[in-house]
Amino acid sequence: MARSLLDRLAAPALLLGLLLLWQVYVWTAHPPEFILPGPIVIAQTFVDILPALIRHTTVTVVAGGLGFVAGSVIGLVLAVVMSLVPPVRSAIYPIIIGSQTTPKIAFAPLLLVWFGIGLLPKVIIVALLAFFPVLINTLVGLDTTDRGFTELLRSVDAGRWESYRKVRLPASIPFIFAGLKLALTVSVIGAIIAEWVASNEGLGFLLLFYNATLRTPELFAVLVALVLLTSVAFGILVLIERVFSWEARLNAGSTTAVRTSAAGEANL
Amino acid sequence: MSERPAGSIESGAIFIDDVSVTYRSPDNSSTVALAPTSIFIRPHEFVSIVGPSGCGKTTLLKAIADLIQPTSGGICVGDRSSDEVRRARQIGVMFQDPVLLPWKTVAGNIEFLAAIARRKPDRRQVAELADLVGLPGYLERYPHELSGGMKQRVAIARTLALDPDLLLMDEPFGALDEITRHYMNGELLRIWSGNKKTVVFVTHSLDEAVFMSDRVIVMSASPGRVVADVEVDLERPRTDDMRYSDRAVALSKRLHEHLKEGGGSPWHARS
Repeated sequence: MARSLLDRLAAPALLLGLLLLWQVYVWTAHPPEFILPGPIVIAQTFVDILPALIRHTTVTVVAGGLGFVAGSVIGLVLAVVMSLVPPVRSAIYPIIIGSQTTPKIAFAPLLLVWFGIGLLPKVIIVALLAFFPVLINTLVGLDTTDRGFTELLRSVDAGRWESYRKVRLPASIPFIFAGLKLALTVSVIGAIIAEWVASNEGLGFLLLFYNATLRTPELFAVLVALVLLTSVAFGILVLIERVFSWEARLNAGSTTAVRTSAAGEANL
Repeated sequence: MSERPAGSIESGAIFIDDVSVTYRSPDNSSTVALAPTSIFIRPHEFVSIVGPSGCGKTTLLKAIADLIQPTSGGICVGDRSSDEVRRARQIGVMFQDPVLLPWKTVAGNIEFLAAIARRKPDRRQVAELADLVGLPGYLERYPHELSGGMKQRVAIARTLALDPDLLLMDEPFGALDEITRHYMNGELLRIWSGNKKTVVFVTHSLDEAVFMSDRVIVMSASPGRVVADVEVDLERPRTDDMRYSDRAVALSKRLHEHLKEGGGSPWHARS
C-alpha cells in the first residue's frame, strides 16, 4: 500500500517541484515579467482577472461543447450508417480520408466570410475536427467484431439489427469512448483556434489579446484556465464512460483487465 | 430423448452427399479445399474427424453448419437441408476460441444464443446448465475472471441452452493444456450421455478422437478427402483408464497408419 501512496503522490510532487524551480529562477535571475512571470504572480493575476476568465471560458465552453456534441453525433451516426450500408461506405470513405489531409483550420477564414463572427463558425470548425476521430474509432470498433461471433450469430440465424444491438454495438463502445476522448482534445484546440480567427470573445481571443498587449501574466492565467477547463471536461467524459462502457466498469473493479482506451488519455 | 416421436429422432441424421468446396482467390486461381465427399452420420452418433492441416475438416464442419456454401453436392439433416436446420436454430457450433461476450456475465453468456433463437432459458435453467458444466456459483462472474477451461465450459453451456439437434465442434479443446483437455473430454461425454445429440467433433488429436467417438473419419490433404472411416468398438460409458487401453492405443495406431497412407503434412498441425 505504501507503494501505491508513493505512486499517487509522484505526479503532484513533480509538478510542485517544477513550479518551485520556476519560482526560484524568477526570484534569482529576475527575467522581465513580460517574458517570464513567476507562478506566484500568475496565481495572483488569475484571481484578479477571474471574472473575465469565467465570462470568456463560458463562451469557449459553449462553442467547444456544441461543436463536440454535434461532431460526435454526426461521426457516430455516419459510422453506423456506413457499416450498415456498404455502398454508402464505399462512396464516403475515400472522401473523408482525403479530407483529413486538408487542415480544416484552413476553412476558418472561409467560414468567417459565410457566417460572420460569432458562435456558428466556431461550432462548425470544432464539429469538423471532432467528428473524424469518433467516426474512425466507431468504424474500427464495428469492424473488429470477432469472426467467431459472426459465425455464432449466423449459426442461430440472428438478424442484422439483432447482431448489431447484441454484439457489434456493445463491442464497439470502448472504441467509441477512445474516439470521444480524442475528439474532446481536438475540440478544445479547434475552439481556441476558431476564436483566434473568427471571434471577439472566448479564451482563444483572450490569449491573442493579452499576447498582443504583452500582458504575459494574464496570458499564463488564460493558459491555466484552459488546463482546468480541459481537465474538468475530460473528467466528466471519464465519468460518463464509467456509466456507459462495460470495459471501464469492469476495469474499475479489477486490476487484471487490460485498458484498451488509454490511448485517448495520453493525448490530453 | 426416447420420449420423442419417431420422426424427429431421424432429425439428428446427417447426409453428406457428394459435397465439395473450392475456394477461388481474387487472381482467379482456385484451391480445392474439399474433394467430393459423401458421409452418412447416424442420429445420436458421436463422430470425430481427424486429419492434417488443410485436409478440409473445418471446411466440412462449416458446410454442415451452413456457415459456408458447398461448391457442389448437398447436405441434409433428417429430411431438411442444412440451411433450413440452421434457420430453425437446431445447430449448435463450438470453436477452439470460446468467443464469449466480455460485457456479459456467465449467466448472460449462457443464455445469449438461446435468446436469439427465441428459446431464452429462465434463471433456474441457466443455473442448472452452469451446474451441469461444473460452474456452480459462477453465474455472476465475467469471462475475464475465468480460466481457458472454464470459458470453454461456458461455451458448452451456451450451446446446450440452445438444445440443438446437432452439435458441431471444431477443436473445442484445442487451446487447452492436455490435462484440462482430458478432463473436459470426460465432462463432454458425461453431458452427451445425458441427451445423446448427434455430435461432429473435429480434432487434431488421435487419442482424443478414439476416446470420444463412436466413429472416426480420417481425412487427407491436397485435395481434402476422406481416406478412412473407422468404427470405435470401445464400450460406453468411457472411463479415463480406457484412453490408453490396448484397444484404444491399437485404434489410434490404425488411424495413424491411415493418415500416413493418405499422405499430406504432419497431422499434429492445426487445420
